Amino acid sequence: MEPVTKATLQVFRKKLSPAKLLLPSSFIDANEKELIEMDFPNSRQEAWKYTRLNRVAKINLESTPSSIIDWSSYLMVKDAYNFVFQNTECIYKSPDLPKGVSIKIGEQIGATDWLSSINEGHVAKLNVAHAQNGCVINISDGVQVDKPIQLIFISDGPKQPNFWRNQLQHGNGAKADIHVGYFSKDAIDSYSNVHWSVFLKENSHLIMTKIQNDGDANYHFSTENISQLKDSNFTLNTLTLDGSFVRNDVLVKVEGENCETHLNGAYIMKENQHVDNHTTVDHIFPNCNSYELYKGVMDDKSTAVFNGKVFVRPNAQKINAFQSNANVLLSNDAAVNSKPELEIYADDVKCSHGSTTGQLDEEAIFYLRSRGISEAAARQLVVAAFMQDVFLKVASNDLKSYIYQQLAVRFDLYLQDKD
Amino acid sequence: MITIKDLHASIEGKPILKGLNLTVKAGEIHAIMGPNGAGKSTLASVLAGREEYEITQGDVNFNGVDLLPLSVEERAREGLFLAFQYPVEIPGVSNINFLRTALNEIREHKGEKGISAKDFMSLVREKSALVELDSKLASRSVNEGFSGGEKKRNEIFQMAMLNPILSILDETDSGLDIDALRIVANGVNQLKTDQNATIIITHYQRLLDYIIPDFVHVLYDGKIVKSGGKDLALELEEKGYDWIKNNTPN
Ligand SMILES: Nc1ncnc2c1ncn2[C@@H]1O[C@H](COP(=O)(O)OP(=O)(O)OP(=O)(O)O)[C@@H](O)[C@H]1O
Ligand SMILES: [Mg+2]
Repeated sequence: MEPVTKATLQVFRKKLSPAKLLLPSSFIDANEKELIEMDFPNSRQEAWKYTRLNRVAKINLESTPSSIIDWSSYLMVKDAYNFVFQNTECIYKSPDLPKGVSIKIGEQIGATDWLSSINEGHVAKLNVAHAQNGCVINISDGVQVDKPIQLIFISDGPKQPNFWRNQLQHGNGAKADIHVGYFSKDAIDSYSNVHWSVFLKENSHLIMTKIQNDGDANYHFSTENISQLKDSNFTLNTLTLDGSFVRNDVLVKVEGENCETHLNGAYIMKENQHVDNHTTVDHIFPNCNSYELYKGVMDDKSTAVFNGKVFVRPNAQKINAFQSNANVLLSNDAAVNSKPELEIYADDVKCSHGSTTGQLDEEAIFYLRSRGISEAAARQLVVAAFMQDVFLKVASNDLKSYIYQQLAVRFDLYLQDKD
Repeated sequence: MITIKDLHASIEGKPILKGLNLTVKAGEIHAIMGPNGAGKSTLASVLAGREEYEITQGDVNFNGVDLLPLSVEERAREGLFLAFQYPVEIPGVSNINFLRTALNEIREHKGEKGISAKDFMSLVREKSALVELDSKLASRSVNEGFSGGEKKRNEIFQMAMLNPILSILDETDSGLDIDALRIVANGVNQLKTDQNATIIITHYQRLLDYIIPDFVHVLYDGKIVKSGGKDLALELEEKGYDWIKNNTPN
């Protein structure tokens, strides 16, 4: 393992364009100074212990223009308010939006549209420094959005860097279902870095489902910073269906009483793929519930990391926090590093966490096959059954069918690979 | 229908079946009895295609095809059905959803069209009534939380749904109360035609009061050592397996 020196991050940035999005000076001023002093973290740093960045550090990113693609095949569900980004461009904007919903894209976003944000660590700081495009969504008080808002981000071409930055402000009592899809096309050593700041106001209800379906040669970094005010209900579903290297950093600050937080994740990995889910739920106020459920199926030599932190601050009494990570290994060479962590500073709380890793039940597969079902279909059924409680959290039935369809493709391919 | 010739099978290097011969014709019911560990379930597993067993010798002709090279699912599609001694629970996989997939695979194999949702549901109603399986159970996860008796009834329900030509029932009677035994036996009898055949593995002559076998075989130490009519079961019940053991040359 080569040591990563300070210069590496600067070399990595050499051909990256400065931010094209207009960001407030409070974001940028300190950011650049700190970034210059930083480097890629190495595995001695706890947060990157099992996710090595040596390969990422070596890639030579350079944005190249590409012709506009037919994006319709990337839509996960048909009936939605759609927005499609291809590299630095927004190539499709829904012509209509319901009353009370505004979505600004790229140049439409002014510096004052951005609310405060946390930008810690090299991933978030790189995003501030190089953000090229993205959206700012405002959902007004009391608005219940009738259809999902669907945002598709496509990384196109080799060595392509993509820095997307987004914000969602969810009004008092508002309700919405957001679908976000990440894809890549013709990627070779490409890199995506996407940042979301999400603000849930009082008594609002939000489900955000992100589908990570990157091809095999894209490094994908995703950061979500969530703030919840009282009586709000937030669900984040992170479904990693494909991708050679995926890192998710989720931070939820629960900044009001009577909130509910659901973090669900599913990852289905193969070959040399790697996925890392780092989550933090920070309970600052009393009387809240948080539920976290991440499940993974790992084949070949794939590796997964799960690190889930729950903080319960001293005054946050009567918190129920549940956390679970379950994995199935389809191969002896696959590996999972799972670390659920609780840090509790209040005394009247109910918290539990657990982590399991096992094999797929071969008896079940034999049973299904003995009824005439092909091995591929039997494996898919049993995997889907294992993942089911995560998939059930996806609100939209259309999106659920999309997921099952992707799973079917994945498991037929899986068997062809083996033959 | 099925001809098993000189079948030898071992697991983890340990020979279990040691030259087994058996012929079953269409329209027949055969019972296989024998002491614990004789190899009865092994025979059922080997026929169903369980991959852990190594076939060291012999061959099996099933309805004109060479059975042994076929995969588990191909055997099922050819019309072989195994009712398991210990049916597995599969949480999250719906009993009727997987059965519909299975039925369609079998129909496709026969060159038939897939079954419509409507026809499938009426088939489910008809066949679950046959084994008096609560239709709620039919739509739950496969065997999950089923009682021992319900699992066995679910096996016969699946058999009724898939309409196999050869069914092997591995101790389907064990764990059944008197009423369930009658229901299951009744189901098997109603599914009986002159086109299909059944092999019943059992320890108890009692089941054979309900399902009258054409032949009874004794499997002992990996071989069929004695065959006869239904009276053989009565004789075994009376004399025990020592009678066989003492009459078997080693
Ligand atoms: N996986 C295995 N490894 C080693 N030995 C095995 C294995 N499976 C079965 N056997 C052995 O094979 C022999 C035959 O077992 P089998 O289950 O076929 O008997 P059976 O006739 O069905 O008995 P029972 O009446 O108890 O159901 C037994 O001695 C058993 O211990
Ligand atoms: Mg047995």
